[in-house]
Amino acid sequence: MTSPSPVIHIIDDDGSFRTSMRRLLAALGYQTAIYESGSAFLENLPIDDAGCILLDLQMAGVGGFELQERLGLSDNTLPIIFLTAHGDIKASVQAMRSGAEDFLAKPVTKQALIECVERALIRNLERRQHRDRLRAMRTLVTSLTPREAEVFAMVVRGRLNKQIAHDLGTTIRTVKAHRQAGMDKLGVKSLAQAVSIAERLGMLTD
Amino acid sequence: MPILVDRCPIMQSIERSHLRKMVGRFALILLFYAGGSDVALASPKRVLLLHSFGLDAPPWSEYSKHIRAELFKKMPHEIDLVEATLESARLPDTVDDSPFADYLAALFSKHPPDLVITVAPLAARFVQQQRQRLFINIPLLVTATEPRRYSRSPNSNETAVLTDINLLTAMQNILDVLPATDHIAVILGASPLERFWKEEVIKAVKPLSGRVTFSFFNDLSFEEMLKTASTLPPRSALFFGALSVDINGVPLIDGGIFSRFREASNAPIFSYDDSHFGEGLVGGPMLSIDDISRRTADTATRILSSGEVASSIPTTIIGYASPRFDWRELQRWRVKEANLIPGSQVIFRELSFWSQHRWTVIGVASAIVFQAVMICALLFERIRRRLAEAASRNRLLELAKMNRSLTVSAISSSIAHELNQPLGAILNNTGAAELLLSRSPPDIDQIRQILADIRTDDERAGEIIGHLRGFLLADEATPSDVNIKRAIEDVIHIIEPEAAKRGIALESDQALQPFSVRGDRVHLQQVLLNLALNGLDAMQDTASNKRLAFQTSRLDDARVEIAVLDTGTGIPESKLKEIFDSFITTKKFGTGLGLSIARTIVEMYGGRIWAENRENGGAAFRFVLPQAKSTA
Repeated sequence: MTSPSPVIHIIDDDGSFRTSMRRLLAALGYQTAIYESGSAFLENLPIDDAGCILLDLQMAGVGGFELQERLGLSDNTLPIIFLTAHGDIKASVQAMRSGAEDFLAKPVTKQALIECVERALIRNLERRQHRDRLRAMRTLVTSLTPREAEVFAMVVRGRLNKQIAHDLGTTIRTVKAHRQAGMDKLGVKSLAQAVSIAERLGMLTD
Repeated sequence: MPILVDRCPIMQSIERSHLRKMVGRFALILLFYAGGSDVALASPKRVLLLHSFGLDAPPWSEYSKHIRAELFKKMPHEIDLVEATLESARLPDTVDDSPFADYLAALFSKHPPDLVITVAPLAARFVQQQRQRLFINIPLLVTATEPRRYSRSPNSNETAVLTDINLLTAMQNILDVLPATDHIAVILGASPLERFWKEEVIKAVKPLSGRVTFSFFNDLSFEEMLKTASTLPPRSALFFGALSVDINGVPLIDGGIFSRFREASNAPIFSYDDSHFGEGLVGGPMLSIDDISRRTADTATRILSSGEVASSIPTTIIGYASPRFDWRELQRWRVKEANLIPGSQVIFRELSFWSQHRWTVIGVASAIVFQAVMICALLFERIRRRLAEAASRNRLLELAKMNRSLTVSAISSSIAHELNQPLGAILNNTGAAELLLSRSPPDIDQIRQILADIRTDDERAGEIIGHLRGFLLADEATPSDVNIKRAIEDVIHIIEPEAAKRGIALESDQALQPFSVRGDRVHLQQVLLNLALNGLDAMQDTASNKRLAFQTSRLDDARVEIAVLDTGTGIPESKLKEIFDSFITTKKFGTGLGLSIARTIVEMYGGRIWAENRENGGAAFRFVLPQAKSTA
């Protein structure tokens, strides 16, 4: 799995600060993208989601929190680092609660910025890997035949072969065959592994 | 009470030839006296009071006046008092008195008088001479006569109350009172009696020769006398002797003569009797006319009432009464009271202003004091008020300053944001530049660009601080001409971040005129800022279209109106008026001072402020200020 180079998305309505931040991060060797507003970012959502977002908290138009909220609704892996020119506690608590990766007060030192960005990138990587895994699992699950999927769903819910055969109006042998085929397709050796995949894909909740 | 019945000149009943011989007029006064009621029916005692000079000639008239009064007072009987005057006393001795004697004989032929009283020597001598055919055996009482001019007839029914005129004592008195005196002018007329007295004076004052010189008026006309009296050399005194006629024969017998001298004289006037005391005489030992008259009346009463025989009554000689002085004259001539003869009496002492007008003085003084106290109190109050006004002004300035601080702290997070943007950018740029420099070769172009950006950001930060510093640090109001357009722009700078944070658009009239108003720049900014923040707060709950606008317009030549308009919730009608009062707030966290301070400041510069609701929602705050004169 080749990892694309991460991009730091800088969203700030203050042109001067935006430029300086881009300059610094570029000098530090990061790839950057700049947006003058939250809506500009939403309109140009990056296809590749390696990286993180540096978001100014106080902006006219789509503000920091609003953007965070909207990103949260989508399948976002980009951690958000809030930047604020006045670090007030109320705002920072709200930001962290709603899942902000970090909270930085302007002016921010280079060291703090690097640490924060690095942490965010690691988290981004983790999130992406986790998401990739889930995607792979979902792909495997979708590769099952309908009958196999049906049997799989019942197996991970703890149904015995006999019960499944009875429910489906078929023989235990047939159930066993579907079950094995599914386990093979998913690449799991034990029932526990299969249950884990089903759980991660959210198949057990409904 | 004496009743003046008649004062008719008898001359008509007398032949004219006689009349001329008789020389002069004589007058008759008949007086009837109603005495006590118990004797009202008894026949009246008839008394003839015979004068030597005129009836009005002082001092003789004074004698008759006093004698009359004393008689009426003392006599139990009714008195029929007849006064007649010889008049010839001031004429040469050659005048024949017999026609006058005839007249009197005729007058009293039926009812002879019970007593004849003569005043002054000539009348006494006349009676003595005519005694054989006139008033035979009728008691005669001689008065107001000097021993030198009278000798008592041995076999006549007469007695006398004489006056002792000690001329030396009188002159000595002048020297005692005014020791510097070296000349005494003696007023004496041209009549024989007055000439006699001139010689008497000369004789009497011999002991004083060398110390004081004397001059006499006997040979002067009245006008000359007055002129002389008015031009006396310094250290002179006037002695008022006797004056009935001047050298030209002009009779000087009326009572106004003395006062003419008094007016004309440039020297103090003394006399031997007190007939003019109180009219301008300095005073001294003098004959008391009152005293002599009383003694005369006493003697008359003894004869008339008690039936004593006149000849059996010894002659009485009365000298000077104890000395008396007129205080006013002493003051006028600056006589020291120490110079006066011991036992002297000073009368006519003018009451001091204090004793005369004590209560008036107290009243007026109290009024003045009261007024002064009131004035002082008012002045004190005025000073206190001024100090209080100054203190209140200082307090207002402090309050205004505090209000500015509060205002700024209310928008401090916006300001911090505003300030931290450039600071953050600078820090970032510096970091980038450091990294760029560590490369080889360094990207000089980019570093140059970075440095340029750093400068820009630094200037931006400086500007923000500059705006605030001017606003916060101003302590004293320094009135000057303030460009209202610039003041509005400054305020917009300050609130811009806060407005941005709240999503409120700021609008300033593009056509803002550069009007100048008179006031302190910071104070006017404060008014604008308070109104602006008030407007921002009013739009807290407004969902969209949040706009805050500034407008200026010229009302007339002298006034400028500035308006701050918002699109907020407006002001409840009931609060439109009181909204400018202290501690009235419609906000949850307002101090209620912002608008109050705005009003105070506007009024301090002679303006007025009010609030109103706009037609399409929102509130308008307007204030009017006098336009500065220098405004073009």
